[in-house]
Amino acid sequence: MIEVKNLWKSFKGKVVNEDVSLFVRPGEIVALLGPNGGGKTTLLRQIYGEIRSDKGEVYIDGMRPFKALHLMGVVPQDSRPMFGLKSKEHVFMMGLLKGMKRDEARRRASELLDKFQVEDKLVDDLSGGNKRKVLIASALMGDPKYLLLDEPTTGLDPKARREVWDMLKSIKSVGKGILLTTHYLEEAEKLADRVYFLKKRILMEGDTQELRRRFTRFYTVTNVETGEEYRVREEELLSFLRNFDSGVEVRLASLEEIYSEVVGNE
Amino acid sequence: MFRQTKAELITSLFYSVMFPIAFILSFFSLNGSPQVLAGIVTMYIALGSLTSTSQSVAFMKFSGQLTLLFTTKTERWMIALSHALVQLTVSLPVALVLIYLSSMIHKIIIFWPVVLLTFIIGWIYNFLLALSMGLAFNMRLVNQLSQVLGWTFSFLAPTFVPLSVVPYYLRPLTFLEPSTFVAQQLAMSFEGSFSPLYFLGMIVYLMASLYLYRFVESRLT
Repeated sequence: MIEVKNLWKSFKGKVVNEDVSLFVRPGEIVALLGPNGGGKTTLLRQIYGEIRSDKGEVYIDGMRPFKALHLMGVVPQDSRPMFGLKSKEHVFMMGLLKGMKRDEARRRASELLDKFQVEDKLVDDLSGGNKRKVLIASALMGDPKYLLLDEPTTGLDPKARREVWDMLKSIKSVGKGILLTTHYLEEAEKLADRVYFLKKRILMEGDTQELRRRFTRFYTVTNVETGEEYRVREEELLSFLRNFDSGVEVRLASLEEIYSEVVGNE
Repeated sequence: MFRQTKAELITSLFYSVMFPIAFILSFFSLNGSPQVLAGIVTMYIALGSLTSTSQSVAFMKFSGQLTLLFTTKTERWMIALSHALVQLTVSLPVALVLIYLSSMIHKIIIFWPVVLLTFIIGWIYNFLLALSMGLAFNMRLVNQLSQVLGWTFSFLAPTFVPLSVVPYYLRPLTFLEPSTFVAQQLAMSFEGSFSPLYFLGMIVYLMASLYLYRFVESRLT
């Protein structure tokens, strides 16, 4: 399990992460949601050990981050595959660097790229979505137990985004724990088992469904004729609906609405 | 790394073919002055490492490749070193061939242990300075700084000329340039001698560059 306990980080006296605690179990997808500059990337870099924490502890299956890097596959934010290499070479090379044997790395690279349907051509010539897939495949080399993804679908078109989502679901289904940062609420809603709202500190956390239930004291009522939306308390819902002659749609609060309420009020 | 250095083929060819030709022409015209040879070899040590390593590190940092490779448990200095060693496999043989040819043509007595020691220490501290620069600044600034410093350390320091021709009041300034000690020590070694003072200067630069790198690295983490 990835365990983060009371983590602090500041740069030049400015606090970026304040007493952050979280955990990720194998076989679940956990999303870190937060605004730009909310400390998501810094937190991820602390977890995989690229930057040191001022206070607090990070353990990955009981080990310190740098020692446990073999247990983690990482796709950093804004990273590009290494130029001049073909996709298979890229994945293969990352396998070698992670200590895989040559034959095993070659076989696994082919297997992953076939599965993710990425052509074996120069990474520079691949589309944005396929570049991201090459990075995810590279992160999966060495069979890591956990996958850390920093905004894995930023900049991708809807089709490529859905392909990456399907890919992540299939990775989760084989028992790997995934921690991803995103500011696409829809992404967290579709993928994550649990979410953390992070804005320097954890503002709220919980099971995605549980969070929605927790906010069910508010319902969103939409007048289907006029398109007008109302936020109605649970106990007032029945009496509110009696006022309508026309059709209405009633739904639970979406993650986006919860996010606006939680993060927006901070 | 070898595959990636294909992108640097033009600069590699320039420094390994054009440079020796230019060197041979000027060396003959200057009647085999050891200082010209020292300047050329210093450029192989200082310019090659300083320019190429700093720019590569800055690019890899900018493109996220340093982070990507870090996640395979590869430290930043090792990534930079693997790149710099590829450059060294081109520059070292060329420099050694030039020194050897010069010794044959002009009957210079080469003090080989000092040449190699100077090459190694000079290369390491230029590598560390380049690594620190690449990690500390953004890519655009590094591209400019490495060019300016590379040329400054080559031509605004006593590399191609002896220290004695530099006006007395400017000499302290030249000691602030890391190439001065390398070039002067090499020039002495091409006359068969060794200077403890220049050697000490190189050791000071080595320690300072190591400290600088550790400082930059600590700021990054």
